[in-house]
Formats: sequence, structure tokens, C-alpha cells
Amino acid sequence: MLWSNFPNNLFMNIRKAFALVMVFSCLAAGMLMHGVARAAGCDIAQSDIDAITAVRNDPTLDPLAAVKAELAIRKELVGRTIGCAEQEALGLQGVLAAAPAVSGADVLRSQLGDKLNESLNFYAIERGKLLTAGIAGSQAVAKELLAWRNNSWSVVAGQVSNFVLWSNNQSLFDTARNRMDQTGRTAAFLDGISANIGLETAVNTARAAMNAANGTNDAAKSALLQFLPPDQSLVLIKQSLEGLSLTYKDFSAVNDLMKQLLPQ
Amino acid sequence: MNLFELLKQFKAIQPDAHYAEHSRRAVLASAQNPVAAPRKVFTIALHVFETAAAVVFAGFFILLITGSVSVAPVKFSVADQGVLNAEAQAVDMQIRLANLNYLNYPESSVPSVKTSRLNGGASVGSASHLGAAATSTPNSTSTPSSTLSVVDALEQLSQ
Repeated sequence: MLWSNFPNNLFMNIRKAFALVMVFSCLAAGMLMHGVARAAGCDIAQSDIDAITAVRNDPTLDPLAAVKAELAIRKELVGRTIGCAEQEALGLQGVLAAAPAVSGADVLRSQLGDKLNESLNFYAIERGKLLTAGIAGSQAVAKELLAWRNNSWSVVAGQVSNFVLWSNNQSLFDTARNRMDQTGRTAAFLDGISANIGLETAVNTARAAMNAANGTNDAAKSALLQFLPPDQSLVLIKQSLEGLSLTYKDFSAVNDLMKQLLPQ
Repeated sequence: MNLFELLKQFKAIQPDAHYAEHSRRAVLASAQNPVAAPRKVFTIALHVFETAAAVVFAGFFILLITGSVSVAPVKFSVADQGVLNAEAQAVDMQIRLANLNYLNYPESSVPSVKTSRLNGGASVGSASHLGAAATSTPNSTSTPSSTLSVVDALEQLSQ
């Protein structure tokens, strides 16, 4: 009986074993990821902050012990928060380095990298202050970090983010320019043999849209090079992309006209 | 008079003495100026250029014949609509990413929403999020709802 079901049993056991391995793998991966996050110190929960209040209100602790405990918690949490911010800056450095190379933009990339390095230096200085800080000192460090992040970091991060976005756009613009060239050549050839006025008009419309998108794209690059506020450069980047999208609509119109003239 | 006799008389034909003398004088009186040096240089350069051009053309045609160079005619064709649509969609996708930057945070990844995040507050894990998307804002976050943003944590720790 057992032997008669041997192949099926074996198959079921293999499936069970495989399922178990998968479950354990997922658990292990989850624990590993959680461990990495813990090790990186980037998982500050509300309960961690609430521990400060809990220590203050703990009736079992004498005042000195309560102060010591609160200071320890504050230092640990501010340090961990700085670690999060450092990871963020390092992550942005990686993103910046991975952005596609664009001719004429290497200096800007380097300058943005320098700004990120300055951020990391600032975090290191603040971390150093924590070593000798008391409760008020740790609160002051947190305030300084908060003010700096709202005033400086948000600008740097926005500029880096916009630069990466703009760099990624350039391949789209290159493709569109090639499309414009090819379309223009074909349309000129067809226009010569058919004198189709509608085609010429459509091509001119597409070319005007392409030129406008190129112009806005150049303006976005200028804004990035001048380190204008991220909002301003982002608006230009968006406008350039929207212009490119309109250009493709014009390409489609030209394409439809050319299909009527060329043998398929 | 047979033909041979006639041919023998042809041998005795002489130019008119006066005309021969006139022609000789005209030849001797013609200008005997040597070719100017710059003109010589120009002529030599022209010859060199002609020779070089001949060599270049010969080389080009040899390459053409052996297939090393292909002279393809300019391609006149209508773009494939599918390819055109794909290019347009790539642009639209990038517009969406730009909009995400504009709004600072992709709604789908906003955890327990903290208003302070819209004011430059970054949160844990945003760097890896950026690394994956490569375009989203550095202030964006993909943390679970139990975690606090850096700004949120700092706001509470500064009090």
C-alpha cells in the first residue's frame, strides 16, 4: 500500500519540504532585514520617544536616576536620528552617482556631491556635541538639527532630486530629437513629391513644439546650475516634459499624414 | 604620271621662303619669360592635391568594393506607431515621476501621515526608496507606520 503510493508520497513530501524551506527563508529574510534596520538605527518608533515620559513618571526611580535614565534615552534617540539622516545623505550620494552622465553637467554633479558631504560633516559635528551634552544639550542638538533640516537639507535634497530627475530626462530628449530629425527628413522627401501642404504644416508644428521643449529643458539646466530653489527648477523640468509630451502628439499627427503617402 | 612619280614630287615640296622666314622670326620674337616661382609652387601643390585625391578616392572605392564601408541611402520611412507610443508613454511616465517630486511624497508610500514631512522632513528608509526610484524626492518615505520621520523624531526630542 505504502509502496503503491510511493511516487505520490514522495512528491507530497518534497512539496512540504519546499514549502517549509520557503517559510523559513522568508522568516529569516525578514529577521535579517529587521536586524539590518536595527543595526542601522533607523527605526525610531513613537514608543521609543514615549519612553522618556515613562521614565519621568516612573515612581520607582529617584530623581537622579530618572534624570540619568532620561539623558541616556535622549542621547541614544538623537544619535539614532542622526544615523537616519546620515543614511539618507549617503543614499542620496549613491543616487547622484548613479544618475546618467550628461554632457556639461559633471561640474554640477560634483558640486551637489560636495553639498551632501557638507551635510554629513554637519551631522558628525552634531553627533560630537552629544558626547558631553546633558538633557538640555541634547534638546538643543535636536533643535539645531531640526532647523538645519528645514532650512538647508530640504534645499540640498531637492536640488539633488531634481538633478537626478533632469538627468534621467535627457535620454528622452535625445530620442525625441532623433525622431524629429527622421520625421523631418521623411516629410521633406514626401513633401517634395506630393506637395502636401498639410504635412508641411504638421511638421512645422512638431518642430516648434520640439524647440519649445528643448528651450525649457535648457532653462531647467540653467536653474539647476544656478542652484535656484528646487521648486523653481522642478517647475521648469515639469514644463519641459509636458512640452515633450505635446511634441509626441504632433509626431503622431505627422505620422498619420505620412502613412497616407507612403506605401505600407 | 603614275602614282609613284607623284609621291616623289611631294618629297620636294618646300615652304615658301618668305613665309618660313616670317614664321621663324615670329617664334624667336615670342616671350621667353620663365614661369614665376609662386606659380610653380601652386602648380606643384595642385599636382600633389590631385594625386592625394586620386589615392583617397581609390582607397574609398576599394573599401566600398570589399564591403568595409556601406553607403546606405537615407532611410525614408514612417515610424512604427507602437514605437512612437512607447516613446510617448516613457515621457508621460517621467511626468508622473516629476509630479511625485512636485508633491514631495508619493501618496502610496506615505505612512502615518505627518504634516511636518511636507516641510522638509525626511524619514527613515527614504534613501533606499530614492535608490530604487532614482527620481523621487529625498523626503519621501516607505517606512512602516510605526516609525517616525527624522523631523518628527527631532521635533519631539527637542522638547
